[in-house]
Amino acid sequence: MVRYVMGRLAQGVVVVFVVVTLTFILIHAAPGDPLTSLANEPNVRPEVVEQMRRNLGLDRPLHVQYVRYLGRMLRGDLGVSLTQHRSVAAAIRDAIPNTILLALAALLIDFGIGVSAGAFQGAHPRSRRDRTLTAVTITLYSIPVFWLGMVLLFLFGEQLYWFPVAGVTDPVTYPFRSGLGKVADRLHHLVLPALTLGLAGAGYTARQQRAAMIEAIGQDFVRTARAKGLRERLVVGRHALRNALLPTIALAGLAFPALLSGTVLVETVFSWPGLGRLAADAIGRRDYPIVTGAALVAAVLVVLGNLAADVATRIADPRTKPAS
Amino acid sequence: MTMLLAVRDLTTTFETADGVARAVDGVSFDLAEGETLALVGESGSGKTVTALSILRLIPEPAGRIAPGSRIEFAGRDLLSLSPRELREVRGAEIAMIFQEPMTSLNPVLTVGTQIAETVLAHEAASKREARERALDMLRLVGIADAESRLKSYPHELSGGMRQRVMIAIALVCRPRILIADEPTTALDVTIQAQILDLLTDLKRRLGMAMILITHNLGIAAGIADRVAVMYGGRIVEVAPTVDLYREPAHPYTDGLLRAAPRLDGPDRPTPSIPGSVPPATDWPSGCRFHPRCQYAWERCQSEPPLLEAGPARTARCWLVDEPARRKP
Amino acid sequence: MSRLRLGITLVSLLAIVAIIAPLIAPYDPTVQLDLATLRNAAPSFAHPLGTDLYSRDLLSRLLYGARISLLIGLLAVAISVSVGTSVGLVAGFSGGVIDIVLMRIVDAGLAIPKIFILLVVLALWEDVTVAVLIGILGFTGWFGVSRIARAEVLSAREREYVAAARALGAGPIRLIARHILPNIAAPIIVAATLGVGQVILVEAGLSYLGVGVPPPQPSWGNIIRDGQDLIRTAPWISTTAGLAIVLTVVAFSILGDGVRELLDPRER
Repeated sequence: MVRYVMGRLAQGVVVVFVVVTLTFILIHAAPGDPLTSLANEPNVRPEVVEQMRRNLGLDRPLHVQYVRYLGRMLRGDLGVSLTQHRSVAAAIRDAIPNTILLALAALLIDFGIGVSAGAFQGAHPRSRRDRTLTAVTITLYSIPVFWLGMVLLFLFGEQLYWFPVAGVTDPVTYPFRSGLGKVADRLHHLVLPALTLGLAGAGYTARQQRAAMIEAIGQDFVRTARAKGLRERLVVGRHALRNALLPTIALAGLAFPALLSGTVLVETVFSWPGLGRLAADAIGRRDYPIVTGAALVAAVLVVLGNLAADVATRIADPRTKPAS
Repeated sequence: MTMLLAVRDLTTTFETADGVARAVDGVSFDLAEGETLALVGESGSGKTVTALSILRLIPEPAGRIAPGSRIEFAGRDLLSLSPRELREVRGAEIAMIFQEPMTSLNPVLTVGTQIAETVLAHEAASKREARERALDMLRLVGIADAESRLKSYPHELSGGMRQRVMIAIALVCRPRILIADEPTTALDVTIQAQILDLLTDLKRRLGMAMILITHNLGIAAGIADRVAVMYGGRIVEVAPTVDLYREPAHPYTDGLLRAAPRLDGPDRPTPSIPGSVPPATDWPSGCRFHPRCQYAWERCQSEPPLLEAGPARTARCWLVDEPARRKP
Repeated sequence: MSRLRLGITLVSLLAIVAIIAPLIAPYDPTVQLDLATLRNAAPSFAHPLGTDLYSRDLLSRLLYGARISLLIGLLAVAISVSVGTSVGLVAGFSGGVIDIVLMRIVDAGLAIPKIFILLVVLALWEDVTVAVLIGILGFTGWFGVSRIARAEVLSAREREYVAAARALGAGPIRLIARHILPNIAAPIIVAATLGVGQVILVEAGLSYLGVGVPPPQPSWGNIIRDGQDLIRTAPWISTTAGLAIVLTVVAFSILGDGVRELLDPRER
């Protein structure tokens, strides 16, 4: 297992290296350089832009810039924000725990709902409830996640007052709460954004789980389980579902990119100070080092997420262990 | 002789893209206490569907056992049992093993779990007791180092061992009937013989009846008391094994005998029956075998009933009526 | 079959609406009709869906929005499919270093969450027009398709008829045209159909973030963005546009599923 993880980690490093290279190419392939838009601002003096250009090394030949860029990335130096007066790394450090919390909570809701719904559908294919759930899941993955967030925010935040509408904590009461109260406040703030992101993903998970379940139920070993005289609950819940969960666990890895894309929109809707909102805000201010830094970190998160999903699959599937 | 199992007019149909397939079409046979009956025929003749129908394992709703069919086990009609009553029969009274030991075992559960759960489903046993029973069964089916094999997963076992595990699962609750569907087809020839020996041995020791399904008359000869030959969803001949081999009454049986690979011989091509089994959606009219039969004449346009062809044997062929037509 | 028919019907209806939008839209979607009296007007006979903050007719904006969304979705997917298929074919056929390099690029492309890639590109782009947006969406959306195409090439190469065609001296072009393309068509058509809906979702997201279709052009994402702060007083603005997106993406999802059922009999 250790060897496997190291191998996958090495692959991940290659992916991240290519991502870094791609972002470099993107930055330099775009018309103008990263400071063009800044230079076009009427109240920015051209000398200032020239100075910044020199500071950023944008006047050097491309290959020199590339090597220096790689070197900086290797040291974890993602550059300096153009608008925040601090390093990109510092900005991302503040944002990333919030995004990881949101993404994990959403993943839990996504798979909780998606797996239950899909497994039920797969166990009763073509039933009336299967058809109803299919309509629901198609709708869920066709909903713009930011719009779903707006609707939930409006209903449960602004009309029913069940949940707070913005931020990770209550700005007024949080500092005065006890330890447990602080946790409760954070969870209270987490519900709506996590539910939004989780629901949007649950549609796809449910479809995948339904297909995996139908496939599993058609397998010979399910017939064996029935021939043994097992209760249908065991046949479906133990024999079919355990097998049908394996592809879904593997799928969790593939769900990470979509999940992180979703955080950009959901964090914006709910003013959730995470990586996505950082990037979305930065693009409004044309703060490109923040945007590229956030994208790089998002890619690293995806690579780590894939690795986690692979390891989980290997743990869950006895066939991937060497024979004893 | 009391009949343990009596199948009457069993008809099982499937909805397919090409229409309704009558995979099993009016099959009747009996199985006595302790008897071994072989159901023999080419693939597509309906033998596996017959076996699955007995345990009502036909995948619904595409497959359906037609009304009017009866399957009586120890005086009860299996076709009218509630799901719960049916569960109590499956695995405990009538057990089944399948052709593919690879895919018929659950890849993510240990061997021990898969044996023990059968015990837990049918008996008021504790988990520890169920595990002990699983261990005993593994020893009984001849698996070495049974203790550690309990914790093995199916992929860690060889094909022959997997089939031994399947047998252990099937027999752990001491069923009165074992249905073995092509139990050795997927195995190497040497392993085949071992598994067949094991089955014969266990059958005798446990005193159960067995329905052995095979396309190979050579295998049937080794263990069956009686043989029922199926063709086109129907039984075309039933006879005590010795009689059947000495003198097949139906030309199809004759063809199968000539085509049978010998268990002890080398794997050499054998003369086979010309043509192939027609699709179940489109059985020929009259005798279903007549398009492939070398003796067919006008009378074969109407289907013969099962005619008495000797002591305790029947055949669905007009030749029984007109033996002179059978040329030497 | 019924799912395919439903999908075709819904998508055709949307396409017709998009095409004849200029004929049925009651107003110019970008014209501010009367800033004094017609801001956020509730639905009425003259304005069936009301008006927005700038007194523009919402129904007209919605109809023209269909035009822009479908145009972006279809053209961007056309680009993605062409690029992805070509890259997949090249990688699958060349093997070796070319294959490895291309596939590492694809791995990287798939590792960066879509919206982050787009933000990086858009952060550096001046004056994003609809055409530029289509290009950006298309050229960042081909990674998945290229994997499908490559996998099909690899499996087709294993098959006997391709080996036979090779033995008979068929060149790669002929091989691709005669043996590979017909085989990879099915999965790619399915991916493309589903992809249109996904691109429409992404475009809406970008417009919502303010970096998509440039205002005052009426994209559905822009309408939702305009209506976001008015959700209490004029909920119809963001609601109708949101429902329009859901309906459109559902239509393409159903069509995609239908096509899959048609092309792959194993699916149910």
